[in-house]
Amino acid sequence: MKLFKLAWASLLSRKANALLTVVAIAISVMLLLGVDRVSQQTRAGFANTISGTDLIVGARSGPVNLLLFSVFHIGYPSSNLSWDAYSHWAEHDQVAWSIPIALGDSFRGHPVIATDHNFFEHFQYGQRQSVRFAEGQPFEHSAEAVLGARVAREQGLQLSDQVVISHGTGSVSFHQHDEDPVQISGVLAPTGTPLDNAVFIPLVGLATMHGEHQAEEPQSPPSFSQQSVPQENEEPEHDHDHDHDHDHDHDHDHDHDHNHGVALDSEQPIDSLSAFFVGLHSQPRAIFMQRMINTWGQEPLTALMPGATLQELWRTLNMFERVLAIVSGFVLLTGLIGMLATLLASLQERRREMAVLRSLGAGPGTIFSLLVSEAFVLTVTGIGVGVALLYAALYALAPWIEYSFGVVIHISWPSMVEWQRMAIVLVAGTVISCLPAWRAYRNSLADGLTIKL
Amino acid sequence: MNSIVVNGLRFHYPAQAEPTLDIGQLEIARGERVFLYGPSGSGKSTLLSVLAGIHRPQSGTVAIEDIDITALTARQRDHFRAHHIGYIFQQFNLLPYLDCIHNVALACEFSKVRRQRLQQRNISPEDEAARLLNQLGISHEMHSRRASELSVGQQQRVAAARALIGSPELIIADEPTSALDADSRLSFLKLLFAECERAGSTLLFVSHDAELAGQFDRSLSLSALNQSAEA
Ligand SMILES: Nc1ncnc2c1ncn2[C@@H]1O[C@H](COP(=O)(O)OP(=O)(O)O)[C@@H](O)[C@H]1O
Ligand SMILES: [Mg+2]
Repeated sequence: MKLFKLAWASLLSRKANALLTVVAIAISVMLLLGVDRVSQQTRAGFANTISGTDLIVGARSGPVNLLLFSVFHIGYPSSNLSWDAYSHWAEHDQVAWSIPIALGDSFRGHPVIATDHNFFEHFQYGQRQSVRFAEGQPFEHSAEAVLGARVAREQGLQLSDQVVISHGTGSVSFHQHDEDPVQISGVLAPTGTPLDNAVFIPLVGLATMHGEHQAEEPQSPPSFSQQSVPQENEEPEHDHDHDHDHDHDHDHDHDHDHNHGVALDSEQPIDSLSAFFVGLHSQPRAIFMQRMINTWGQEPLTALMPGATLQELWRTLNMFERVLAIVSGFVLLTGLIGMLATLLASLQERRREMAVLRSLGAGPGTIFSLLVSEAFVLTVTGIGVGVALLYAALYALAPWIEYSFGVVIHISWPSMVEWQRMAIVLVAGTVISCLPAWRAYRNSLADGLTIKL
Repeated sequence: MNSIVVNGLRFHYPAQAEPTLDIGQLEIARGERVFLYGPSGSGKSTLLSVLAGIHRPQSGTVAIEDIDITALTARQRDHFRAHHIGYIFQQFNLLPYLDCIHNVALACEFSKVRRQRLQQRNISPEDEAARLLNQLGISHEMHSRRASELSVGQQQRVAAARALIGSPELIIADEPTSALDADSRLSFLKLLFAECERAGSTLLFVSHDAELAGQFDRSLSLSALNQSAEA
C-alpha cells in the first residue's frame, strides 16, 4: 500500500501547519540534545584543564573560588599567601614539585600569570600532557613573557615582540605599567585549556612592575644555595650563568634607568602569591597533606584536591544544566502538544478525506495508521532538522565557548544517549498522535459514507 | 442474476431505538440502472452505507453479487467494497492535494482486484484513468491539475471515473448531481450511463429530486420500500 505516499501528499497540502510542527519539534530536539552535549563536553573540558597536580593551595578561601582563579583564571583571590608559607610547604618532604603563581595583571584582557620555571616543567593538563612550546623558550629574566597559543594568535604577536602588561584584569586598564615593556621569549602550543588565553611572566617581573624590588636596587647577585624550590626541579636548558649574561644583554638593549631584567633566581622573587600547585611523591598522601595544610597554625591556608573540587564545581554548574534540561523537556512537550493540537484541528477538515478513503475500501485501521504515520513523518523530520540545527549551532558556538571558557567543544557523532533521546522523542510523538488517530477512527466508523459539509 | 438482493433488512444507528431502515425485500438486477428517490432524511444515504458494507444491519441479509456481506467481517466488507463497488458522493469526492489522474488511480491502490482486471487488459491504472477522464469530458491538459482547481461539475466527473476504474460490478451514486446545474446534470448522467454500460456495471443512483427518474430503467421510492418510514 502506498499509504505512506498518500500521507506525505496530504501533509504537503498542509505545509504551513506541518512546517510549524516540525520547527517546534526541531527546536526542542536541538535543546534536548544540545544541553546534554554541551554539558558533557564542558565537563570533559573542565576535567582536562588540570592533570597531575595533587593539591592547589591558596590563602584561606572557598575551594571553588580558589580553583576558579588558579586554574580557570576566573575571579580574583580574596587574599594572598606569603612567600614564607609557600617556601615552607614547597620544601616539605612529601612535595615532589610546586609551582607558585601570582595573578591580578592583564594584557589586553588576557589574564597574566606570574610564575616560575616550575610551571613549564611540571604543569600538566588533559591526560597528563605537559606544556609544550610552539616556539621560543621559557622566560629567562624579569622582562620576558611567554604567551598562550591563542593570545599570540589573536594579538598577532611573535617572538621578541614587546608588550606592556597592565595592572588589574580589565580589558582597558588605566593604570598601565607603561615604563615596563616585556619581550616575548616563547609561545606555547595550543592546549584547549585556559592556558591558551594566558600570558606568563616571571614572579620577579611582576614584583618589579609593582615596585617591590625598587628598594633592593641594584639586585644582589644570585644565590644558588638557597633555592626555595625542591631539588628535583632541574632545568637543564636553563643555565643561571647564561641567565645572567642574557640579563646584561637585555639591560643593554633597554632602559638602563629601570630595574629591567633582574635575574629569576632570587631567593624570594616576590612577597606574596595567589596560590601554588603541588605535586606529591605519593599521590594517595594528598588527603593527609591537605589536612595538614588546612590546619597549619602559622598562616590560614586552603588546600584542595583538583579532582574533588572540579566535581564540586561541576555539581554547581549541574544545577544550571538541570534547569536547562527541564526547560528543554518542556519545550519538547510544547512541541508535541503543538503537533497534537494541529492534528486534532485538522481532523474536522479531514473528515471528508477520511470518508473518501473509506468509500475506496480503506478500513478504519487504515485511517488510524494514516494519521499516526503523518505524526511519525513530522516527528522524524523534526528530529532530523533538530539534529542539523544542533550541529550548525555547535559549529557556530564552539569558537565562542572556547574563547569564553577556554573549553574546546569537540564535534562528534551523536552518542548512545543522544540516539536514545531521539528514539524517546520519536516514540512520544507517535504515541501522542494515537489520540487524534483514535478520534479519526471513531469518526470514520460513525460517519460511514456521509460527507460532513 | 441479481446485483443486489436485500431481505428483511433492519438497521438503526447505535444511539437510536427506532430503526432507520426496515426493508422487507429489494432486488436489483445485474446491469440495471435504478433510480432511488426519497425526501431528505428518509435514510437513502444510510441504505447505501449498508449496501456498501460500512454499516452492518442488525437483522436481515444483504447480498451483493451473490455474496452475503452481512456474513463478512468489517475488514472483509472493506475489501469487498474496494473490489466490487464504486461510490460517488454528492460533493467533495476528491482528495484536493492529488491531481486528477492520481485521484482516479487511487481506487486501484486500495484494490488488487481492480488492478488485476486492468492488468488482464494490459493497461496501467494511470492509462485507464486518463482514458476514463477523456471519456467523461475531462480533457488531457486537465489531467495533471489538482482536484482543488476544478469546477464542481468537473470534480463529479473525475469522481465518476474513479468509481468506474477497474470495472466494479456495482456503482453507487449518492446524489452526485445535486450540486450541478440542470444542463451539467443531464450531460453527467449521459456520460455515467455510457461508462456503466461499457463496464457492464449496475448503477444505483440516489436523489431527492424525482425529475431525473425518467432517464432510468426503473425508479424506486425509498418511502414505499421502507416500512419504518411509514410507521
Ligand atoms: N452517522 C449517523 N448517526 C446517527 N444518525 C444518523 C447518522 N447519519 C444519519 N443519521 C440519521 O438517519 C436518518 C437518515 O439519514 P440519511 O440516511 O442521511 O438520510 P438521507 O440521505 O435520505 O438524507 C436521519 O434521521 C439522520 O439524522
Ligand atoms: Mg443523504
